[in-house]
Amino acid sequence: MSEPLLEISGLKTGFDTYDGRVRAVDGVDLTVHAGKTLCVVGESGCGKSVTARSILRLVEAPGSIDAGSIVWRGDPEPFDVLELDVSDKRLAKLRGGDVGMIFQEPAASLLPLRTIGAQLIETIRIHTGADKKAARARAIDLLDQVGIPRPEQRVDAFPFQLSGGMCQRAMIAIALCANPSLLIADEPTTALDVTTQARILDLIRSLQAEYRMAVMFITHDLGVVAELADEVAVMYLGKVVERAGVEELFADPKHPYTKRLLHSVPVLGRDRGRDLPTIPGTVPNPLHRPKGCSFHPRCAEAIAGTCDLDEPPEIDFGGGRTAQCVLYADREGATA
Amino acid sequence: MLRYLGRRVLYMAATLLAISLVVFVVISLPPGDFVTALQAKYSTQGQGLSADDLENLRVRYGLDGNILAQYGHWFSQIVLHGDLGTSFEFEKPVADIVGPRLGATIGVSLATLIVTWAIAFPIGVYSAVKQRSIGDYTATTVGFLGLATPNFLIALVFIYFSVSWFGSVPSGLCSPEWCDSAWNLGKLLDLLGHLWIPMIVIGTAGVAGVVRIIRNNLLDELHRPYVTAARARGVPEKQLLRRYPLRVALNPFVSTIGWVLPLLLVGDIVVGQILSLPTLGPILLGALRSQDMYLAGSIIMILSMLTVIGTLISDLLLGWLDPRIRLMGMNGARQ
Ligand SMILES: Nc1ncnc2c1ncn2[C@@H]1O[C@H](COP(=O)(O)OP(=O)(O)OP(=O)(O)O)[C@@H](O)[C@H]1O
Ligand SMILES: [Mg+2]
Repeated sequence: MSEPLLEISGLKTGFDTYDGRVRAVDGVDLTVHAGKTLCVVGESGCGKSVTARSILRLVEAPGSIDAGSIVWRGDPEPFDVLELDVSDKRLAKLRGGDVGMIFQEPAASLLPLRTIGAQLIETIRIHTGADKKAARARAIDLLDQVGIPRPEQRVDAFPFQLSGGMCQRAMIAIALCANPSLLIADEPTTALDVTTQARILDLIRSLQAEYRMAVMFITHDLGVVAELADEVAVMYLGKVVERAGVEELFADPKHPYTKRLLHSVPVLGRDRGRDLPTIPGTVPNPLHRPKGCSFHPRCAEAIAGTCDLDEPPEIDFGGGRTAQCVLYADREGATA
Repeated sequence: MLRYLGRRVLYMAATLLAISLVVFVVISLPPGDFVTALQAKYSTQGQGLSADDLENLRVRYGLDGNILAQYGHWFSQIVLHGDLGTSFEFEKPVADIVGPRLGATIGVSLATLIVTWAIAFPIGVYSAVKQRSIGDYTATTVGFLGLATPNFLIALVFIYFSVSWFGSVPSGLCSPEWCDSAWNLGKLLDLLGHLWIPMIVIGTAGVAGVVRIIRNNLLDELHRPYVTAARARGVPEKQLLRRYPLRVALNPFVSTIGWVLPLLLVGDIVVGQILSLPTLGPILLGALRSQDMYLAGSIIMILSMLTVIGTLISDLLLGWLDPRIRLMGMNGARQ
């Protein structure tokens, strides 16, 4: 196992709404290891994006981070991101410097009124202090690296003149500009067509090898997980319900939710011509979180009198494997 | 760009033609004409006019015949000879009456416009960035009051206080001793000393309106994905505001030039009357009352022209500010 680069523990982030406080992230522990890929999976609304945004302190009002710690170990002196003042230099260096971030909607994440070059050069100059000419040369070089053809011309193109895939490549170029040690990718391919999606994934994988950076990849596509991940964290309603290496997860899912998720992925040959099993019910509204285990109303293995009353314990299987489920509570070595 | 400009100028001409027709018809709509108004005036002075006198006057003023013919005559004179016609009431060419006042009107309007923006812009930005702060609530509340108070009321309040405090009514744009002198520093200072009153009176509603526009535009932009993305890549907050959401919020703002200008001119009609400014507003009011149709028609045409030109300027500015408008359709195809 390589060194931990980022350690999130007990993170709680909530939003004030008219109906009360939504606990979007409710006690999340995650570790990203240097040079590795952590995939965070879960259904829509389970708090993946809010977790990612909390890392760089990007949660805006009416939301705020209530508790937890996010320790960055990429510096000789590790520090807790949540303890930093918003004007702290270390936070400024983290944002776009040590941590690059790309988003779900590449076109909307770029300002339509400025060329991609202007936005790229701006970021390069902020983090490297290069002069205009050097920054422009680096910008063209970066656009070339992320596979944008004719970068000398595209550098002066406006975002609306490029396709979604090209915009995402430009976003990746921006994220890479200061040789980050972590790339956070929040569903970067969801808005793209399948071919473009595959190309962007290939690009991220090759860049990861080249830059030796860690990737935190957020997705709800298990196919992508199988392709990219070293480790996987499965989220459900603001909590990490299972954590495992990618092979273990696919070979031997522990949490009933993970099992269900894997079952709803089609397998060629097996699933032809029959209905795919879906997970019954929908993700509950985080405002009205079920008592006990929040998955129990949809869980086939729920134990009446236990799952609907008590919070499930976090079971540690060793080697970084955990599951939040009472089914494994009597395991040897399990810590409740 | 040139083709775009040419097309716009063509639209402008068509708009002005349509406006001129409507203006002329509306002015001629009320029963009677200038001669009727004249007759009424004479009869209040105890002098009657015979039917022959009336007929002669009508022929002299060109008021016989149908109104389309009158329109045709008026419009062709303007286009072909730049001749705006003659004012019945002043018995002078319209150009001689309007000319000197046009400068004052444009001057007051532009000065008001610039001051309006200079005040409203920072307040609007502050209100949006510090949404729901005490400052925001204050600005919003004062803004509502400013929007809801009619200009003439503010002018009357001004007059009331200046009479009760200084014993005189602020009027005109210059003091008697400076009015006829050549331009120098003293005259400029005197002008500024007078200008601020109409500026406040006409500009109050404008400031309130612009604050609202800026605030709402910016609030729309502040939470867009591109703002989060820029923050995530380390753009410092101040730079972020200026280079990202503010730039986008500026666009609809620029397009307000087109309609803020006529609003100012309308403000001038009432306020100019009350503060007796040497602008077009008071003259227009008088001309409409006495059915001095060529004078009224010409003034409205000039104001319309200014408005249309204002709209053109704001469109050009918009094209310059927003590459989507500039490039789309021309070579906006994806590369
Ligand atoms: N600005 C906000 N105001 C109120 N609630 C919010 C806000 N942003 C997020 N939430 C809440 O946080 C929860 C988690 O949102 P989040 O965006 O993290 O989901 P996600 O897992 O990224 O989903 P998706 O796959 O759709 O992106 C949502 O269910 C929502 O209720
Ligand atoms: Mg999301």
